[in-house]
Amino acid sequence: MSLLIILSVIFMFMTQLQVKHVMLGTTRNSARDILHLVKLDVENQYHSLQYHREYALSRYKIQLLNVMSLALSHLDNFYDLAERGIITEDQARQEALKSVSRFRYENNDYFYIYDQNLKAISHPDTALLNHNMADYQDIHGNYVLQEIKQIVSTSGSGFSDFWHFRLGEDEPVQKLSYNVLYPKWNWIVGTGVYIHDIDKDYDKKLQEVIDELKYLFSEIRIGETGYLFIFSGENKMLVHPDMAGEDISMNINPATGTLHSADLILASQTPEIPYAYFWNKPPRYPDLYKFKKESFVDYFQPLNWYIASSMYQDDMMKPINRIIVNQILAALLILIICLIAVYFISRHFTRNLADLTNHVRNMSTEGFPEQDRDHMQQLAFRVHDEIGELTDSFLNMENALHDYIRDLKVKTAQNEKIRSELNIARNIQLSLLPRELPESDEARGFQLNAAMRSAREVGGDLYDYFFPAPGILFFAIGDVSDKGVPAALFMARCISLLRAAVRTQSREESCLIKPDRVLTEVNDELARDNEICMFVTLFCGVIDLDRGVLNYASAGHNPPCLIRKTGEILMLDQARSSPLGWKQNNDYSNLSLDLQQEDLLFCYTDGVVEALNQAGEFYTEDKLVSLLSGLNTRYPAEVNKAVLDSVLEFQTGLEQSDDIALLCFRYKKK
Amino acid sequence: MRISTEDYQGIKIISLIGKIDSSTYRELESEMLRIAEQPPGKILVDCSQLEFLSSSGIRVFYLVAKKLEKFNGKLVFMNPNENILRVFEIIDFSSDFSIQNDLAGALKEF
Repeated sequence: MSLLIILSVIFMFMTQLQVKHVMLGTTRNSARDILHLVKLDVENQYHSLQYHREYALSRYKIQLLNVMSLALSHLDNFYDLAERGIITEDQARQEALKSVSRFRYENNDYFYIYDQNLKAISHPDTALLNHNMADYQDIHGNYVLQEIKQIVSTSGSGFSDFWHFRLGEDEPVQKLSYNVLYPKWNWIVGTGVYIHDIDKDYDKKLQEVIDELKYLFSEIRIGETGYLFIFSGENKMLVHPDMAGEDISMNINPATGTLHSADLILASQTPEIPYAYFWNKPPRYPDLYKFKKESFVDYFQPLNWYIASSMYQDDMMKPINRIIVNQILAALLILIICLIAVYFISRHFTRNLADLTNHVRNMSTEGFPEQDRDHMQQLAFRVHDEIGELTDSFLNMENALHDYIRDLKVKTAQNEKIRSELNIARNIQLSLLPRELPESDEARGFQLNAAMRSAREVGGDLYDYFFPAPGILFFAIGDVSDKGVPAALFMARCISLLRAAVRTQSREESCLIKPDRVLTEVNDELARDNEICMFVTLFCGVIDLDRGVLNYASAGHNPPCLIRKTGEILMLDQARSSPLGWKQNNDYSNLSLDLQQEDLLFCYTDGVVEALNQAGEFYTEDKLVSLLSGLNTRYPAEVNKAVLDSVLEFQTGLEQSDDIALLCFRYKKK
Repeated sequence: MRISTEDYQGIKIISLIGKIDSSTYRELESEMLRIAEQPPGKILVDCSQLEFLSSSGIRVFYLVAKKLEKFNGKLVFMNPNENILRVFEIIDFSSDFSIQNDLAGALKEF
């Protein structure tokens, strides 16, 4: 925006300079042209005046020639009379002189005759008659008669003007005379008319010209207030808006102290170059001679006139300033229109964008706001730009999201239901397991701890222990194939069958419980109609705590470890045997082991040794054995925790892949 | 896990590659049951590229064996790795299925 303004200002400044230059030039040119036209007009008027004057003069001259020829023929009459001898030559001369002196025409105009000595031999003015006029001078000092004699003696006749009194008047006036040499008697005959009439007429006509120019000048304006004026070489102001008729010879330029008219006359030598000076500016500043003026001055020599123009330079600038002001106003107007347009356009965009943003914000805080959804749909439909498209896309996304969330809610509710059911199932499953025994039960001759960690809510691993008879501990650990709900159901069935089989035996065999028979019974029950071939690996044992004897049997279960007090570790020998559930009437083998003081029996499921780490490696029996070898003196609960922690650490970053059950027993002889 | 099957003189040889655990056994189950549907039900399971076998996978073999009973078919295993062999020993797998070290031995079983 500011760039736009700066550019506009620079542009206007440049234009201003250029326009100023051009306009000043134009104004000066027009001043010069007007001055030139005025000069041409004056010249025309002058030529017209001259023509009139010449014409009038020529009329007088023809008249003089005519009357002269009459006078000469009259003289010829007297000469003829003498020639024919009717009168004497002397008589003829006297009569002729007398007669001519009585000639009058026009305006009391007369004839005069001089002899070669320039003696007035015929003249109506008796003061001059018979006087020698050779030394006569008119008011301008001309030897009038000597000039006349000169003309007629060289040309025989000729015109001559001089100043002379009119008959009966005291004031000398200009007179045009025509003189002829009358050779018969050697006389100079002349007559004259007073031509000041012509001058009077000329002056009258000149005044008319001046008046006309005054009118003309009043109509002419150069620039705003510039005007034209004419003053004469005699420093008389001829035409001027308010100084006409004044004598300007003593006008002094207050700024320079020089004679103003002299400056102007000097400037007339260069009519093409404006003469610049400082002047006042009435009526507002009558005493402040600080306003720059320009004058073109031209000289019309025939009339001794100075024609001049006069302009205030700031007035010359006025139209330019007006143009510049207009230009600035136009630029401002365009700028304002642009700003308003930008404001409305950006508001149009930002309003829609703001609406959309608001909608999105509402969505993040209030879910899916229904109230401005209609407005958004209108926006998407009505606005055909990126914002509209964005809104449309957004609404589509919102709809998809809305549907998705609705579906998700339904599924989540279903999942939640399943999860809560699974949690109930888990509680039921855990309640199937025996209660934890006191950590130290040395009074009864042993320590025992069992732990279970399912991969899912419910699992297929199991453990059990109870006292079917005093001093007799039965225990079992098992692993159902697969995981989750089916395995959990199978596990529950298995544990129930196991307990039932042990209790039946303990009742029937008077406390003599054989683990192989327990397995056989449970297997027969599980294998019946087991179409899906689920199975359970199981290890179970009976310990006579008083005698320190362990009887045990395994149905395909991982062999437990026996850790001696010394740290020595043995894997329990066991006969090969199938897991429970595959085939009925399967036989299992009974094995026996004498326990030593502090022997630690560690039973586990394959969730331990088959645990995987991120490299895809198994935990393995070896790792378990090496861990257990350092735990030979620990409490069973500590051993279980150490193993569980070790396995969980091993599979860090992965889901637990299989259920884990642990059972640890220490024999403490009473 | 990947399963590839080929026919050899009326015997379906199924090669198991990778790991069979609780997340992959279903594929094994459907594939093997499909094969077990067709007589004569002679199936050789090549375990040489099998890395791990979970109890879920073992259940599938018993399920398949049960299906094969009606054709009097047979399921033979070949060349399991050490770990799997240990599992087979624990659960006395060999009392129900023949486990062979090589193809020649395995083919003789049919």
